[in-house]
Formats: sequence, structure tokens, C-alpha cells
Amino acid sequence: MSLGISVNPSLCTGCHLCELVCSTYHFNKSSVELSRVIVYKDKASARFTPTLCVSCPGMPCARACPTGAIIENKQTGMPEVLVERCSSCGECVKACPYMAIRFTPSVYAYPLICDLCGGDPQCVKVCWPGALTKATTLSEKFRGAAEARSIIAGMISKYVR
Amino acid sequence: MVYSVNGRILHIDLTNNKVWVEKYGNDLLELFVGSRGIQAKLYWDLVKPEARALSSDNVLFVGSGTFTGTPLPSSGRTTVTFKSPATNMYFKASVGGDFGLKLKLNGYDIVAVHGASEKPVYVYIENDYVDVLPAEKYWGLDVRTTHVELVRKHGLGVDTLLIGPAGENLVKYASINCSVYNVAARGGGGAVLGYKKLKGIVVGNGSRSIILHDPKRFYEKSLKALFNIMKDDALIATAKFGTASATMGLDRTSTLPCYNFRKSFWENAYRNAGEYYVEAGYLVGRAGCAQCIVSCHRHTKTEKYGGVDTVGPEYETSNALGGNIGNSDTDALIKLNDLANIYGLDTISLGGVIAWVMESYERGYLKNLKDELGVEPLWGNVDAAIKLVEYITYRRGTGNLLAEGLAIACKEVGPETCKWAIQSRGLEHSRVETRIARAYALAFALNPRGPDHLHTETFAEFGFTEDARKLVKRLTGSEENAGVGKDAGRPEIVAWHEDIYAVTDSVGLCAFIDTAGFAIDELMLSELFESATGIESTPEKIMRSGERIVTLERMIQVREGRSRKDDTLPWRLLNEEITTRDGKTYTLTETTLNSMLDRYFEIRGWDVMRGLPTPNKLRELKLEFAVEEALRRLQAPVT
Amino acid sequence: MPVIRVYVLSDRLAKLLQCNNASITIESGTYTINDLINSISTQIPGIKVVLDKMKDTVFVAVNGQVKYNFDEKIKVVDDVKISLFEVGAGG
Repeated sequence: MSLGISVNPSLCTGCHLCELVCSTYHFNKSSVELSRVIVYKDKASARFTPTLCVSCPGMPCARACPTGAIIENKQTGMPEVLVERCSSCGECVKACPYMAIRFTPSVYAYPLICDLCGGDPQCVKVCWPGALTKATTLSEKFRGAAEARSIIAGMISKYVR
Repeated sequence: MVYSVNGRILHIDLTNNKVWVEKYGNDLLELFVGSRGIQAKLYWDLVKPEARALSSDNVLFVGSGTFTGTPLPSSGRTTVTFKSPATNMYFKASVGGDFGLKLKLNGYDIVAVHGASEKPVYVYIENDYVDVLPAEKYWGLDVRTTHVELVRKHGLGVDTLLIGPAGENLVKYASINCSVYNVAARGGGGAVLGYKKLKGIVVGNGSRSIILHDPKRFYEKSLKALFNIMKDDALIATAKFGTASATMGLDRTSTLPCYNFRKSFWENAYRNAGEYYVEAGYLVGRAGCAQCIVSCHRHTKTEKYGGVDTVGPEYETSNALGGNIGNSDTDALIKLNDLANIYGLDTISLGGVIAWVMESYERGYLKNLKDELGVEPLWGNVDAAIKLVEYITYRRGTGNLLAEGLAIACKEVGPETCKWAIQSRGLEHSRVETRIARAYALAFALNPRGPDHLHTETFAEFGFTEDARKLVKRLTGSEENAGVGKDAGRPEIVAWHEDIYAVTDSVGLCAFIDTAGFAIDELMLSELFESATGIESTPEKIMRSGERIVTLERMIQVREGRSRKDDTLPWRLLNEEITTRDGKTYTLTETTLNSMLDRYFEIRGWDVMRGLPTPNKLRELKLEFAVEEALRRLQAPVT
Repeated sequence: MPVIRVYVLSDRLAKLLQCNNASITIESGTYTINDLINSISTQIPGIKVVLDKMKDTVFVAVNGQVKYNFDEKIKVVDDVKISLFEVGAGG
């Protein structure tokens, strides 16, 4: 089983291409809001980072789900949303420690969580700057996710008063 | 049913406080490809030739390309079209950032801003919700501060298009900034919005998706383009070192204009170069336009000059505010770049003006500046340069005249000074020595914007890479024609670049991808266009639409009063010689320029004496609506 | 004793020279750029061939200034920073 995807925020140039290929690959439609990888940008200070699911041990998103709509995908090890059980309550989004679940009900009724494209992640393929890569170790992956989280938290405190 | 675009234009009338949506279909897309082409057609329809640029009759258009929002890399480029207060003619500006992408994902391919507001306002767009809101509390604030305030108000996901104090003060080279640091710099678009009292436009996240006609085929081609980009030598260098990596190539070939085009090479050139920002530790990160993995923008920092943390400088800036003004202080260059960013100024015109001031002062003019600035505007004096930027932005003292641009300023100070005002038709000349780079010279003379590179840039002329030399061979018959300092084949080189640039701009692709690097060619462009839109396309057909757009732009300007006599270059470049590092001298005479123009008009099938598209050519290109104007001009005496 | 610190900035050039950076200690004194290149070739053997074959597209920057004339003399007292890179693109 793959180790997943590592984020290296300092290499992100904020281009959004990962989001556009992710949505196209999964939905055959191209849009930022349909992407399982989320790019956060503070344009005024040229600070950018992607964030996406790192498959936390214990799956807090699954545990937070009141309807049991999130299970572990046996092939990829990633959380998988069973839309037939999902009530669109958004609890999983709150539970995610890395702000890595996209949920824009006006665009798509269900939470979007990275599924590694079933094993051949497209975002990694297109990220020339190297902000998204196939993880070589778990600690590298979680370190990157934590760095992304702290950058995002900084943006939120700067802009959301 | 349209694919790859929304098929929707949002019209906003600031005079009457009205908003409406116009739909368009495949017929417009097939003829005019996308943003730049469609905006040119809209301009023809909506902006009267007698409309004044700084009036409520001017209409400003902004919108991204046909491939924007799709998985194709590097296709987030956005076009801004308006009548320029600097040239008093049709002007197309180009900008990156996310604004165009976000606008499209909110359901609008193009926004058209009509009229003018009495009080400062800004527009907020979120899908079908469009509102005109008061902007009093942002008026006077710089671009960066305004962006932060608007994001605080409207949420983290929004993006902005803004003007700074320079635009508010109607500086003739005030810019329009997208996503803070991406700049539709030239032509005074900022002043157009300043006159309209439009501080900016805010777009929300947007709920739309882009639907492609053949998503599978398009996706496959996009990945192919991606791999081509990652293997292209020019793009690899541009990614790592930014656009200012062009500096040393130009210095070596003596095409790097320094000291107001008195020199074409410089021992300190490296201090302005992209590699130096990396070597000396100024570069702390990179940024990119929407969808672009080349990410050539520079995130730079310095502790000096009060501490600067900014995006830039790009090549043009690094020379305009570097060697052009005798500035080898990289910290100062970064500071000047940041000031231009936040005040909202075009760095090319700004550098041209400051260099003219320095040369004029050296020659005994503008002596009042010593007391006014408190420091002498000598070559390389960055304190003077910084002060001049402030004075121009706020129209303080002599800054009020300098804010008008070189064409007006030099006449006021003394007609003699116009000899070293490096401008023609109201626009300051871009940063390449056109007495030696002659494809550039011809392109600049013909460019609807003025003597400028970001419309038709013939970078292949330098022949720095094998791809570039191959292209020159393909267009002119011989690889021997690659390299600067030559005349042969220039009209052929220019015509091809004009056509492909028009297509490239209109689909939203960055021109570096197919004219500086060569990762996408005409065949791939036509395949991408067809699989995206469902409209049948071939390389021939798509280049024809490029020709159509170029020809329409020419007719727009003919209708505004342009004629062959305007296909010219600044006085210094046609009357003074330039010497290379090896001691060779070049003179670009009007005779040489005219013979290149003659050949170019022949290739185009236009009336050679007038530089005018003929009625037959217009019909051939399906521009029947412009035939009447062409007939009128043919009947008039040749000017 | 002063050290020549060489940085190969362009990736493709680094591959060709099989080297990203190098340090060569030399005596203080006056040297031509050619002399310095000769010293560098003790650690980057391919440098002379590359500089000759790619003379139109490779640049040598010495202490923040690009040098075209390799007969130019410079006085070496402190460390010397030399950067090597290939021509780029822009606009």
C-alpha cells in the first residue's frame, strides 16, 4: 500500500493545477470547488500551501461521522465517503486535524476526501514545483501536513477576525 | 451549447447602476477564439472611435481565456481591453494571477465595465450575485493593503482586481493589479478605472465548473503538454531563475538597453539578472499565474530600504529600473519593484520616464528637481528614483507632468528633450535594443499597444535554443537568419508570431509556452481547441483565426485614426547608432524599417502604401463589418 | 588562504559537469579568469571543454559580475565566488 502524498508547503507556488486535474479526473468537470486537494493562498504575502488527506491513524473523520458514512478503503487505506449514508452534516470537516476535507454543499452535496486517485495520484503528476509528492516516509508526510496546517491557521488568524 | 467557456459576458454600467448578462455562442468562439479576440470584437462594437479614454464613454473589458479553468497547464492568462489614455487607441493588456480563473468559475468569461461612478465603488461578484458597493474607505489605499482589507471583509477564498493610488490619480501608466502582484501594467488601464471611480472587483469562490466537449482527449493532450513543458530548456531556466534570466543573454548579444538606450551592454548587468537573485539569496520562493507550473514569478526579500517582501522583479522591470537608470543595487531594484506593485504603476513606462529625467538632468534640464526632490536625479541615484516614484504616483510638483508620460512631458520641458524620450505613440519602449534585434523592431513598430513586447514577442530571433533556431529556419528558410543584428526574414518571423500570439492570448495560454519555450505547437493548439470546444479545428484554421484577430485590431485602430506613419519607433532608435561590446555599430534607419514594413504588408495581403487591410482581405477573413471603414480609408489621401 | 567557491546554478549544466558546487583553495595573488578556471578544472574536470563548446550559452560570474574576457586579471585576497549558468528566457 502506498504511503500517500506528502505536502511541502515551501515549494507551493499557488498555481491551482492540482485542483483542476483532481476535479477533472474524478468528475469529468474542471473546477477548484470539486477538488479533493485544497490550495490555500495568502496572495498579499505570497504564501501558499496545499492540504489533503494524510489518512490519520484512528480516522477522526470516520469517528466523527454520525451515520457511519466514512469507511477505510481497503485498497488505498484512505477514508472513503459512502454518499448513500452521508447526511451532509459537515462533522467530518470539523474533525479533520489538517483542514483537508473540502465541503461546499452549494457545489457538491458530499465531503470530498483524497482517494489517491485509486493509486496513481494525478496532482502529484502535475506538480512540477514539487509541493505534492509521493510520500517516502510517514513522518515526512505528517510533518508536511502539520506545516501546512500551521500556515493555514496563520492565514485564518490574519484574515478571519 | 458552448463548451470550455460559460458563454456569458457580464455588463456593468456604473453611470446608471445597471448590471446585465449577455450570452454568446460558438459562432463568436469559432471566429475569435477567446478572451483577446472576443474582447476586440466587443470593443469594435461598443467603443466609438471618438470616445475619450478618460471619459464615461470608454468601456473596459477583462476576462480569461478559453482554456482557463481546464486542466491544461499555464493557461490562466487574462486579457484586459480598453482605450488607452496614453495612446488614445485600442489597448490590450495581459495579466496572470487567479482573478480571471475565479471570474470564469463564477460563470463569467468577460466583464465589461461601462460608464463611470460619481463616488468610489467596487464590484462584488459571487455567481449570480453582482453588487456595486461603496469603496470610500479603500480609496487612497495601496493595492496590498486594499486586498487584505477586502479579503478580511469577504472571506479567504476571494480574489481581487484592484487599482492603487496611481490609478486613482489618473497617472497615464497606472496599472491594474490582479491577485495583488500580477499586473496588467501597460497603457494606463489603472487610470481608466480611476476615472470610472472603480477601485476594483472582488470575486468569490464560484460554483461553476468547466465542461469540455471531449474531456478525455483534452486531458491526455494536457498531460502531454505538461511533459513537454517539464523537458523544455527555456522553461526549465525560466522556472528556476525567472524571466530576468533573459538578462545575460541580452547582455552578451549587446541587446540589453542601459542608460536610456545609450548603451546596449553593461558590466553590472548581472546584478539585475534572475540568476543573481538566486545566487545572492534574494529569492525566498516562487509564485505562478493560475494553472502555471513554470511559476516564473519571484518571491523576493531584502532587509534594506526598510525591509521589503514582494513579488518580482520580472525581466522588464529588472532592466527598466536597473540598467536603464544605471542601477546595479539589487536591493533598491526590489524596493522600486515593490513600490510599483503597491502604488499600481507600469514599471516599463516608469523606468522610461525616470531614465529620461536622469538624462535630461545630465544635459541641463529639470534643474529644479535638485531642490524639489532634495537629491539630484543622477544616473544610478536610487534615492532620487524612489522619490520620483512617489511624486509621480501622487502628482506632486514635477511628478504631475511626469505622470502624463514621456510624449507629453518632453514637449512641455522642451522639444529637444523628445530626442531622448524613448517612446512612440504615447507608450514607452520595452526593454530590448531594437536597433539590433530587428524582428523585435518590426513587431514593436506594428504593435497596436506601441513599441512593446507583450503582444508579439519574437524571442526565437535570438536563436538561443535549438527549437528557436529550428523555428527561424521553418519561417525564413534558413537557420542562418537566427541571431540578432540581421534583417532577413524578419517580416515572416513577425507575421507568424503575431498570429500565434493572438491565439495564445485568446485561449489564455502563457506565450512563454509556445514562443520562448516550445512545448505546445500549432497542431497541439488546434487539437486542444477542438477537444475543448467541440469546434472543428486544424493548425491552418487556428492560425487563420489568429490572423483574423490581428487584422481586426488593426482595423479598430485605423478607425481610431492610425495609419502607416504610426508604424514607427522612438527618435533615438531611428536616428542614433548603437555600439556593441565588440565595437560593432548598428543603425536602424527609417529606410530599413520601411522596407521591412513593405514586405510585411505584402505578406499580409494589405495595401502596402497605407498599411491597410484591403476589403478583399477583410471579406476573406470574415471581417465584413470592417469593409466600410477600409473603403473609406482607401478613398482618403495617403497619410 | 582564499577559497574559490563554485556554484553551478543551472541543473542541466550541473549534470554535464557532474557537479553542483566545489571549493578550491588557492594562494593570494593576481590571476586571470583563465587561471581560475584551470584551478577549478582540478575538481570539475569537464569545465574547460564545456566552456569552450557552449561559449555562446554559458556564463561565468565572478563575485557578482559576469566575465566575457577570460584574459582579464583579478586580484585574489579573500574568497572568490564563481557562479556558472546557462542562458535563460524571459520577456
